Amino acid sequence: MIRTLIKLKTELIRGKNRNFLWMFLHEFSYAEFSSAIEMLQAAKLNYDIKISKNLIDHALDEYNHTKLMRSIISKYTEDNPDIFRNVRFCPNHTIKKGYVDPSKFLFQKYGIERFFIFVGINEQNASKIFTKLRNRCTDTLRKIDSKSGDQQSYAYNVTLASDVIGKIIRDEENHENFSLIYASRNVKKWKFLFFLLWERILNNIRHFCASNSTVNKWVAASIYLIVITLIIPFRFAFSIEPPRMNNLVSKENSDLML
Amino acid sequence: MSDIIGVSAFFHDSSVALIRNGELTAFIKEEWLTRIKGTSTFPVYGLEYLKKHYDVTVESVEKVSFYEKPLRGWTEMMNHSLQKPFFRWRQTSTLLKSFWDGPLFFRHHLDRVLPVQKQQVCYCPHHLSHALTALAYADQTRDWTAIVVDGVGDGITASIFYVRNGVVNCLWRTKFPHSIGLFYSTITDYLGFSVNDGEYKVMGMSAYGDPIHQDVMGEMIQFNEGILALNLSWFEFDHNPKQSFSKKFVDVFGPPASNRDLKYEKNKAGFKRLADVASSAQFVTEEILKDLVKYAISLTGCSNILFSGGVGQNCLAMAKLAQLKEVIEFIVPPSPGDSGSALGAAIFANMVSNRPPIKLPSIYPGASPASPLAENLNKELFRLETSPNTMMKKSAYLIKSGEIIATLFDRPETGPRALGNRSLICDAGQADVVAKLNTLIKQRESFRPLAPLMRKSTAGKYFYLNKKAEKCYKWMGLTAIAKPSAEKDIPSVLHIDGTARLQVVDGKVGKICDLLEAVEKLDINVLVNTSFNVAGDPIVFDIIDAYVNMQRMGIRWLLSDEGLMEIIDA
Repeated sequence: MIRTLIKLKTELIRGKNRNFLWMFLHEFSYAEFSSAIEMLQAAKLNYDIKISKNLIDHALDEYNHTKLMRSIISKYTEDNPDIFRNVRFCPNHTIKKGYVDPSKFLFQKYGIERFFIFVGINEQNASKIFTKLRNRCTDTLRKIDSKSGDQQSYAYNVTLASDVIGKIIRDEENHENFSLIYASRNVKKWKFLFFLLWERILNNIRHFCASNSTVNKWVAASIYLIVITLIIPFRFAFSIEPPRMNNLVSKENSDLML
Repeated sequence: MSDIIGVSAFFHDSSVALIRNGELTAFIKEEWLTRIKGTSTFPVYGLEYLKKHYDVTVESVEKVSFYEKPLRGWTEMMNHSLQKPFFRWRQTSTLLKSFWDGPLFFRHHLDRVLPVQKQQVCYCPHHLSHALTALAYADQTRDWTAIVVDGVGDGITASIFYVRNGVVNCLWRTKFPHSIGLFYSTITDYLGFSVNDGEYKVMGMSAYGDPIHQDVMGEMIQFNEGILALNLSWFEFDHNPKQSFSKKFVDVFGPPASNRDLKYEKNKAGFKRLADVASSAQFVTEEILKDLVKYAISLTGCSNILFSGGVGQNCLAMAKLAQLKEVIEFIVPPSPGDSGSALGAAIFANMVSNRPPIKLPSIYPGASPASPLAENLNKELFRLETSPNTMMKKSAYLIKSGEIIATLFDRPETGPRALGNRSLICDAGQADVVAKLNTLIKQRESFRPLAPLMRKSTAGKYFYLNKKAEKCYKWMGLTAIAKPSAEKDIPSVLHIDGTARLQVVDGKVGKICDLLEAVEKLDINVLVNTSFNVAGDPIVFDIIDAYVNMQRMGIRWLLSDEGLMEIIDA
């Protein structure tokens, strides 16, 4: 999850390619959507009604952030079919991209205490990334809009985008405060500090992995090519007999995977 | 030991089906529980739900059946990829990756949740799962020709079965990459929609265009004398996981869709260009399917048709097939796609165990959502307006006054279409309310119509119903052509081509009947029925999902088993 975000963030700050803005917002919208899913699951799994209600509200905020980001992406990519195809939002890609692991949601995996610390740290990171990128995003939008020549729409859009990002930052800060305050009040101090430190270390490791993601991709591709080359002489083994045609509903072979 | 479980997973929407005491007791789509539309991972939550709420245990389970032969599917695809190993290396890499976390390790995944013995697990050929799903909704004492058409499953893309006295023989099949489903998915991709998700949008869009490219598309895909062939120079899906259409495709039809092109406006050239492509693809698909049905009948000599597989969700094509003069009876199940075939897999295990056929499944076979927390949280989220005794009357008045009502009754529907238990309902006669529901609340593309819901007697007044496929109208299985009276009274639920994917309520099935009865007293005979979910989300499952979705859509009223409720802080 963080991996792609950090890579995109770096590219965006360097200002290499304007399209990275859309890719960044696209990836971030997945992150926000998966956050909404995690909050919703936590609300369902938790037994305290007040906390559940808070988690539901948090989920609603995250859904709203996803919608806001999608609306910016949709507006600014509507004339470019190539970018449009690359920024199509498919909810189940949150699983494929590793944002959510549906075999065990975070609340089940971590338990309530560590869950809130995890959320707090991640919201903190998100708000930091967004604060850094706010100006960069609005600059990019400003450049695009000023080219269009419609000054009214230009001013409106830049303000709108700035407001949207501003709202997201405020929400992220609220979530961070709620989560960390809850955790600091309900978790033993040493445990709280330990998990806080632990999550920060994990985040740094994620940063490190993310900065090497291109290398990882090339390494993986090379390994696959080597494996494919090694398989080629044995490809006849994949040419199997056609499946049976008659009396298909029978006990015979029903336990076989072939 | 009496429980039989069918599992569908790893490709499209995962699901589980439970057969207990000869009937479909529960059906759960994994996406209902994960809240991520199209969840295709192993259905851990579905199985856990069966354990928790249906007392399924290792001891109670007789068989667990998976909806495909995993090794066959994987090997067939590898065989195809390795014929041009470097050209298709990306596809091969994807297949190698799926070796570890895909269906080949089904037993491993199952053991974590339900560790049954090896001999209790069986594997049903993929297209047979689809065929048996359809058979569940048919009179099993009669002979049937079962046609299955989808993208690909076990390396097969289309099959014809002959079902007689519980014996199922396959008479014809065709292999990947020659696939009607993947042809349609390619068009979906070109038109800017997501593959395996946006196919129904192509169908909706097709009505706005003319099939001017039918000759060119007829070159791309052909069915002659039992041979289905795709001209692969138009496609890339067999070697490029990121794009389905080729450069040649773009050279002929122009650049792929942009977001602006997809916004419908009358006489807008960009939209019309895409609609013509959609219309041509729909036309060619229908023609090929018609030929396939005729061919199937010529092979089996049986004119009772069961149609299943992902292509069965194309309700426009299904209506055309049901009209063929060669067809005597036509059934497409409520969930012809992969998620529904968990039921087919379970039926396979039921038959293999020499059990009698299962009872006709309800159209609401889903699992009842049950959570003690939800019951308490309910009061925090909703205010009870009226009790169950008077809720229908009050709801009818609200609908009459132009309100949109959400429903959340007991068990969800199996298929992709809401049939009243998880629906958003409004008066079909109020065009402004229908438009608001479609574009503002559901945020659907304006070229997609909403579906009407009515009694059989009203349906006869407004639509030309096809008696050969009468059953399928209960679950919106196919479209019907509107009579002039419908164009006058309920134009807002008719598609531009004068059809509608109507739901006909026959008899007293589900609480939606009571609502229909209540609104009829206020002179409303047709309701609009659309699924209760935000676009891109799965249909709601429990009360918490209902609250979250209502907040997101700005809906105030919820009609549930507990009464009519108003959302707090709407």
